Amino acid sequence: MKSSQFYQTKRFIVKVLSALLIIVLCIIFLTPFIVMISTSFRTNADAFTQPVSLFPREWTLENFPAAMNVIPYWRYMGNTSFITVLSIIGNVISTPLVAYSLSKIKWKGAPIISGLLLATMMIPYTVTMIPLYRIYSKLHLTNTYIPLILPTFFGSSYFIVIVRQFIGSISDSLLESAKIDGANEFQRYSKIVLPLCKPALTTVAIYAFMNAWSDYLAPMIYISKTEKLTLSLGLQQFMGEYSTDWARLMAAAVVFVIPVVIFYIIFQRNFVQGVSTSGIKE
Amino acid sequence: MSKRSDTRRKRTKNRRQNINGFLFASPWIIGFLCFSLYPLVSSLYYSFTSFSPVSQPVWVGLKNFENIFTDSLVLKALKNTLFMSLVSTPLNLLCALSLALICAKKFKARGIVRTIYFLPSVIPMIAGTMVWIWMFDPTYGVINNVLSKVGINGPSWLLDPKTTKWSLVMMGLWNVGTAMLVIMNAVQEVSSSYYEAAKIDGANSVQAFFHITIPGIAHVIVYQAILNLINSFQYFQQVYIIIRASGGNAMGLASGGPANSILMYPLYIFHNAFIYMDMGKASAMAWLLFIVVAIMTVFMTKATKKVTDELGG
Amino acid sequence: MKRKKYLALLMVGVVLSASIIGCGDSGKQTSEATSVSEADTPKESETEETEAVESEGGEREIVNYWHIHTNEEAKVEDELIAAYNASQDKYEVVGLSMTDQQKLIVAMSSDEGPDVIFTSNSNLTTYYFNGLLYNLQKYVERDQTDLSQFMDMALETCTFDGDLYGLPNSGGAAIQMYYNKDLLAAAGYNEPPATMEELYEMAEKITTVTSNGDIDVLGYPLFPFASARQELIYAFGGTWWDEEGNLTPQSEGALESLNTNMKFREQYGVEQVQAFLGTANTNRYTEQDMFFVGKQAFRFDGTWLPTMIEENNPDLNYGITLIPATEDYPELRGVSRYESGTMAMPVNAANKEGAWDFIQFANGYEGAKILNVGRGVTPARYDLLEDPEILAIPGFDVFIEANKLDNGINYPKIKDYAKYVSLIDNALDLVYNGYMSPEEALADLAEQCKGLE
Repeated sequence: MKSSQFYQTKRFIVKVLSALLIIVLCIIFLTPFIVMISTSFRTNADAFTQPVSLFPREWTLENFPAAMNVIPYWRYMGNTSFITVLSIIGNVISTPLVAYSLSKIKWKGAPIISGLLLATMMIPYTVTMIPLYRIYSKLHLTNTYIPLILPTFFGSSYFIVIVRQFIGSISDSLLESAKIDGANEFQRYSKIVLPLCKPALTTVAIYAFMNAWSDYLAPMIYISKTEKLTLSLGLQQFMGEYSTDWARLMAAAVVFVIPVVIFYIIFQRNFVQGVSTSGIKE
Repeated sequence: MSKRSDTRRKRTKNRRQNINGFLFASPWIIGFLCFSLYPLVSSLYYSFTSFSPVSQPVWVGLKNFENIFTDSLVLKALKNTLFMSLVSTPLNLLCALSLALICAKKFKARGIVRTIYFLPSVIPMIAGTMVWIWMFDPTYGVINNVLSKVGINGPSWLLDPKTTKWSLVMMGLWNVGTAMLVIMNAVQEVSSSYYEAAKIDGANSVQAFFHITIPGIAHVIVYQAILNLINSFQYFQQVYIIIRASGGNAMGLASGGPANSILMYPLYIFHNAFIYMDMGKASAMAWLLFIVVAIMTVFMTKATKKVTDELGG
Repeated sequence: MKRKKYLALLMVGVVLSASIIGCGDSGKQTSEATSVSEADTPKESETEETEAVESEGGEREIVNYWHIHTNEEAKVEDELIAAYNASQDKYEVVGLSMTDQQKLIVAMSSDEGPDVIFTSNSNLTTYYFNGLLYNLQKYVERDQTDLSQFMDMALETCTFDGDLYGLPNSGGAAIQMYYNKDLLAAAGYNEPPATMEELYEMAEKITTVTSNGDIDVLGYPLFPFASARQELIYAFGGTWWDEEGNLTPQSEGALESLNTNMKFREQYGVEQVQAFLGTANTNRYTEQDMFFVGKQAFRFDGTWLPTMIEENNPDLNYGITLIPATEDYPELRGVSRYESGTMAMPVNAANKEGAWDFIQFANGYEGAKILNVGRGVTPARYDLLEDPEILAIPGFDVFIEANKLDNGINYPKIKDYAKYVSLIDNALDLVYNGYMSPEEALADLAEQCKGLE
């Protein structure tokens, strides 16, 4: 009797402690979001008064319209959306093409390219940065969105790996019977494989969205005209020469982050799927 | 007779396969040539030249490399980057593993908890970085505020050379969501029959963890370690923003943070390319980085194979 | 499932419409990002192609002007631009506030950059050595531009290898000592210190500390960082380079200044001082600026400060005086960096004639006056020194007196200036945080500088 009671109390204590641990971790992980939102609803004067308080003493909405004035927010959002939509299209078109080639077509280039795929993921951005910049510069393509969008139409190694995995699981006999029915390679691709790929492609679209929306490095290097900046660069403009306008910056950041959060909440399952499949070794 | 026409048919079939395969893969091939191979080779060429955004490359042989090896800031950048690799990577993995184990168990609010842990790695990095900078503010930031409530006098996180890199580590831990999900998935895939067998044999949960879970997810952990390691050599965005946020111009154009404590290798490459305008040297530095990363990746991939073979998967 | 699809479609719709708006909007917004001005001058909206449009009988040629000013100062620039555009009808200047040095350099080296830039002389050197500036000597000679009214030292900052690469708009011994009269009076002082030794004494008396050791009021002028690197060193007779442009990282004066600096920091706690300075940095030039709210007794700062104090805290009881010198070098009183605001033409400027025309106007009597008065900076022209509006700028008597003393220290015209500064900052960081003694740090610095040109 005694030992089972002891065992039960021990289990109970463990449960309570685990719950506490989980809750504490959740609070820690949520804190930056709380701070972001909280700061966006207070004035700078309030944020810079001691004693410091987490929540505003006086809630205000003024930062949001003010932030929209400091930088041309909607213009930046339009720019960013434009780039993002095209990036998604580019990726969704090119990725399955290449993945299909590597997965379902038995040709001698397939293993070579598969190996190269991984090799390209290893190349640090800084190595290709300068030559690419020079090329675009000579072609007078700086301050356009072409350097940002063009690469997406040629397949991104990371996405190809994910989709290839997926296509690999499509049964060969399905394709065989289509071939017997007279379908050529492209028809087999577009009428059978592509429709079946939808889940994987959705994942690719989501990740392409995230990458393009948050991209900082490429816009920073190629875009300098103010009216062409993207949102991630626009946030930087709140950091002035002398000091940073924190309240308004946080307001702008909140508006920047919201679409991403919404997207995530809607497409949660795809996110999780995409991440999981990418973890499996080739 | 039929055998010869058989082989001929096979050859045409093969040729058609090759053509089709090539055509379908052509976007990537073109992309590879233009965006990877050509820049890689030019970059190598540039390493032996000297030029700026407004001048043409002039051959200088090994001068850039000489310069690099005698530049104290290169050494500093390397040290900083290595610190992040060696400290951040294991800590990140540990954190991801712990969170993954938590989320792998079934409990009521699991979905929400998982979302909370994963959300940080989903939002744009610049937004996250900026919030952290604000949180790290020595006087008005929430971190020191909380610390002072328990009686600790918090340091000037991003201004004290001693604590800047640790601040980066903390920011990194917040971002382990992706790794967590991957590991969690792997944990869930470990067949429950193993655990049942272990239980029958009388093993407790700790033993089960070390003898079943770990070997079962070993390949995933090592893969994440490789990814993390490669990433740690690419630290640019966060440090760039942090440095810009702490008074930009006052600290000089090309600052690497307090006492250059967060001068990461890619950041220094960037300085050399776009601020000191020495693009030849920057290219040389970048190629050295590439070689190091390549060697490490190959090494670690081989290590992965060995580990998974030994553990029997 | 259905709900999800619906939401997804909604998102896509929002994104698509935003992108359409974003594209279609390109014709409407002007390219002035941060200057939110109550425009009393009508701004012409311009299309995406803002580069030099050839004038077709009546249409003006566009001249792109990028300056480094924000907020209030940006409005002054707008005034200047409006005045110029009104004064002639061949060119139209379009202004842009570009504070990102990085972007500016990248833009100047491409052919999508500005036609005219406004920058400080320290950056001018860097731009020159990277071949980004257009040689203006030919224009000067062609148009017989009258340079006599420009102060020698100011012209000197724009001259490289004997040729002129820019025209000076403002110039002078830019930094002097501001002090809080109330804080001094509370400690029993009616006059500001005349020597650094006196300054240190006063600093000790005025610095106050809270109950848990944090610094409440800072007596010694450790902030802004740039002044600590320059004027605070110069006042002790130290220099980082000599007149020929040779680097002198281990000057006696620098060592003495740093030793005094560390003595003060150690007295009140190195970490506490750093914490105070961290806050000061977050608040710089905002309403909560440490000097504006009376938490700093002495401050080495620039000609622009009175204007800023006016805007943020007009009730501050402060005074300005020459930077003190040590007892050994009394002739160094008022020593400061010589800072000039200059206008130059990038080598890739699309509309060079228009750029030159604007540069001449902006630095002539009328144009320079607008900027100098509006920004509150000392002029680079002799004739402006007589102008009553200039003389009325708060604090000018001290700065003009300082200019006359000719104690300004010019930036060195060396290629690796930016790198040298970053190495100096590095060394100073190590000293201030107590990792190295001043002597060690400066010796280390000397080692690192060996490769610099």
